[in-house]
Amino acid sequence: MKYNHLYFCLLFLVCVEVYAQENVLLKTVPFEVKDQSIYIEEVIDNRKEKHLGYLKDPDGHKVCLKLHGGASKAVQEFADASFPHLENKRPIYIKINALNVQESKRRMNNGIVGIARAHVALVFFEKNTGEMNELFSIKHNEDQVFALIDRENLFHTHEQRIRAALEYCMLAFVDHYQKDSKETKPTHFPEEGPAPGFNSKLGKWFNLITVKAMNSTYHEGWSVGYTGFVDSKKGFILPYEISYEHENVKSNSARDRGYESADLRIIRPRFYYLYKKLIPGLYAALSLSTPLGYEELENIAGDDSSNFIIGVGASQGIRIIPWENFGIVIGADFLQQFQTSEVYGRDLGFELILGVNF
Amino acid sequence: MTNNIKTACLFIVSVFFSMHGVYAQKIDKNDLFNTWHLDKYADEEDYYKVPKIEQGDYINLKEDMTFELKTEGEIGKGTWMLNTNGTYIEMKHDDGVLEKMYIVHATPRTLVLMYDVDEYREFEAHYVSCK
Repeated sequence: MKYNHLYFCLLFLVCVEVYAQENVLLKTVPFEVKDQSIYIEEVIDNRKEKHLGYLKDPDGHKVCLKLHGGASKAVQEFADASFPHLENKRPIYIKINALNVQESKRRMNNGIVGIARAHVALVFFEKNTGEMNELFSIKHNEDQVFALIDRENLFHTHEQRIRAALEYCMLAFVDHYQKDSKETKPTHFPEEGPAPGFNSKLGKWFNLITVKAMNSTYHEGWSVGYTGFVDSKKGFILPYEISYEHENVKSNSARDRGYESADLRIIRPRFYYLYKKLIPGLYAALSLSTPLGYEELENIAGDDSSNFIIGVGASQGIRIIPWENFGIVIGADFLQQFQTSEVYGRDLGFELILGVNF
Repeated sequence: MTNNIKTACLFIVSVFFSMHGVYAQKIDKNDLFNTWHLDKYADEEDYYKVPKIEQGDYINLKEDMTFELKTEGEIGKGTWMLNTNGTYIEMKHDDGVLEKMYIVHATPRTLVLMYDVDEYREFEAHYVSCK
């Protein structure tokens, strides 16, 4: 009996997780269509998953977004507002192959921004003697950038981006449809098929919290930092990183230069920082940075002094992130640096990295 | 009873979503057909004069959905479209380069755009129709 209660409680929690659903009412804002010879007879939802996506609402609760009344009805009503259903018009059929909303983050200038996307893939058909003939197909992304703190606005404008994406696809179809009969018209919209480099899915944003243990010819130390990056199979990834480092000159090396101890506290803005995805879970990392900070010195006689540190550092290494959603991060860097240290200005070393990704 | 609760919840959620953007300006395409002269820039804090190199810059949005513009003294041409639901203009230059600009405000005399480019995202570009 006791276990039955537990079972029902667990089942209830699981159900709450699965069925937390929000319906999005797609507004029917008409847009100008020059070709009034067509109307949308039917919209067929051809998607495997009939929802818009699983996202976190501004309160952090995971929700499943769905179009109110289903995608076929919502898109049909949206289209009807701009393509009125009148006699003597040619019926057009639309197949929805993709319709979803996504969220991620990316680096912008010196910070991180939120990015929202509505992705739509539509195919337009005409019926000739009972057969469906494809006229035009299009895939389109509506992307919008938001400040990280603007979560609420990002979430609540998904509906508008869906409308914008649908409008874009329908205008592109009309443009293509007209072009067949009037060749002279200038074309604004892309030709059929996705443009080179088109990605229907936003890259996943990775958050890494890492601790580094550093050992070089003259220094040893540690650092703690945050790295954020958006994953990409192609090209270079530009991570965002902030870190704090604490190094000290090895005691033998310090004494060789007449010091009892030398401690360095450094932040390291990176001018150039690149990841390159080699295979899933394995990244090459390259950076060029400027160490900034100060060193506290104590000489053999016991006198204290301090020194401003600035320099140039470079590193080459790898990051291993075996689990995409949550897990450990391990890595290693080979590093070189030149800095305004009173003790050792040039150094070569090695860093081991351990952390978590989420 | 359950159906009533469901309907009520659905209604509340629907109203919540439909409320967003109530205050968004409905763009009249006819207001856009004009030659727009760059007048000033603005961010959240202040207005800024147009830099010397951009003085005299303009965008001419024509009714045949082509445009001509002058940016930093250079003339460009291409086609444009208005996305009413997205409240943005997309310009496609003759060399294929696309530019997207959100319409912050549009009247027959003023046009305020926000360029969808990282470098200028924090600024609004204010245009006037006659100078």
